[in-house]
Amino acid sequence: MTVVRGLISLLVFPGALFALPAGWFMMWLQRKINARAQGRIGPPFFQPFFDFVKLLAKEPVVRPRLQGFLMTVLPLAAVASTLGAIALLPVFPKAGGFSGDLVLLVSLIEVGPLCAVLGGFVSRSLYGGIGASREAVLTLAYNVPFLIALFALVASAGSFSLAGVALAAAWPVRVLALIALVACIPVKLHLNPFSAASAEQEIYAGSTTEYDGPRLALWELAHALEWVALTGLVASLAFPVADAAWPVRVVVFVAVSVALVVVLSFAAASTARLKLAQTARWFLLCGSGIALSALVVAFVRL
Amino acid sequence: MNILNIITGNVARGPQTVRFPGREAPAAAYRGSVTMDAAKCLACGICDYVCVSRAIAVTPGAASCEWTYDPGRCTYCGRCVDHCPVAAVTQAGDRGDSYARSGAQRATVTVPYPACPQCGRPAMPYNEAVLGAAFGDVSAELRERIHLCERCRRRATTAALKANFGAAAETGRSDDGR
Ligand code: SF4
Ligand code: SF4
Repeated sequence: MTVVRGLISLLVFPGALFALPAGWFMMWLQRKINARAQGRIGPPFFQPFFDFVKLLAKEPVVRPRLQGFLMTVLPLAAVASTLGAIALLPVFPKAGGFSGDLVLLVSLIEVGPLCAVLGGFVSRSLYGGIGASREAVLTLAYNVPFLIALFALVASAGSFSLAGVALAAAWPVRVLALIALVACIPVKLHLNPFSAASAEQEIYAGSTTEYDGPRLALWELAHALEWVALTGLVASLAFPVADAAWPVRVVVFVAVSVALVVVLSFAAASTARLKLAQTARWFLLCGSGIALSALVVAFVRL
Repeated sequence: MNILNIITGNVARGPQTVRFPGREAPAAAYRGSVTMDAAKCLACGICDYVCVSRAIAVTPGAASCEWTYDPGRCTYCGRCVDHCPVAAVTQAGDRGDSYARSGAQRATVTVPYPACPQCGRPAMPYNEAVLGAAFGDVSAELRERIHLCERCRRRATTAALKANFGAAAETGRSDDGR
């Protein structure tokens, strides 16, 4: 991966220039679908963007210096790492990537939830603390199937690079692994039925309860980018279309991502929130079961 | 599954809510942002005293009184409206604008002190209803004195006291000069 190509991935496509509007669009789509399913009119198209701008313009609450610093740096780190993860997505698998970028992607994706956990605790709010501890428990729980599924893909493709996985993973393994990966997305995005970490009816906004103005805007931004990163990861692994021309690959990538948003939104609208223990148990038993079967298939075929 | 029936029903029926400006106007008794009528105000400071969120500040000056209100602090509880003795404080029926900086909507009303009819110095504002509530029957003398500034009123009261004592001394005197 040359420097220029890396910069383009980070800043243009699928990075900042694409990911920001795409993230806002996905957030709007999810809220709109949720609203329509509940018989409401839902937000206008530019609402996530308006929310972001409005939050940026707000005067931040004065906090103790260290707390204010941490409460700014943590969401910033979440934004930066998620953007980095998006830049690594194998939308153009033949163009390269580097060996081991899958490990980097996984760690970058995990920085966001980690920052959310820390951010909840440093905000020194009771609700923030509860949200953060829930986030921590759920992160541990969903990462079991998430990592097993990725490992199954790696074992099947025989490569630790994302491009290698996208091109070479065997389809039975891939389908099973993708099911496990898709099941992990609602936890990361705080969607029903796995939304215990930000259960607004009991703990308000969870770990971001105490955040306001520009600091909250950064969390919203990180959240929007997480939408793109996670749906994009599944989209680029599910439909690699490696041999098509680049516009086709871009269109497929975007279309599959958006279709995934629609599916997740309808699933969220039609389910109720599971309790923390139920969610954790689901991931440790069912989620891991699916991921483990992918792993078994991968090894048997080898 | 029942939830799927509900969702398909909702989608088929279309949204039951309306876009923001199209929604119902607030109720007639809506407690919106606070306004004050400087022509009625007595500069008594009761509104400042009763406001729990310190949204109102009444600052007396030499020739006028500053009445400051910050909607950013107001909880729209209506205590100031209830306690103002002359109904100078009212609450608007709308929600007011949004704001980005604290204090951005702070507004100050100046309550001028009327001039004393005798010396021309600033006197306290007065109100007929409050006068009646405080003194019951308002004599012509009291009505005259209420317009005066503090200094002139003290003088007038002293003069009246002296005159009364003089009269009492006259009437109390016995025929034989004792
Ligand atoms: S409505 Fe309540 S909070 Fe607002 S100014 Fe009046 S007393 Fe204060
Ligand atoms: S507005 Fe009413 S309560 Fe407030 S200072 Fe004036 S007269 Fe007094």
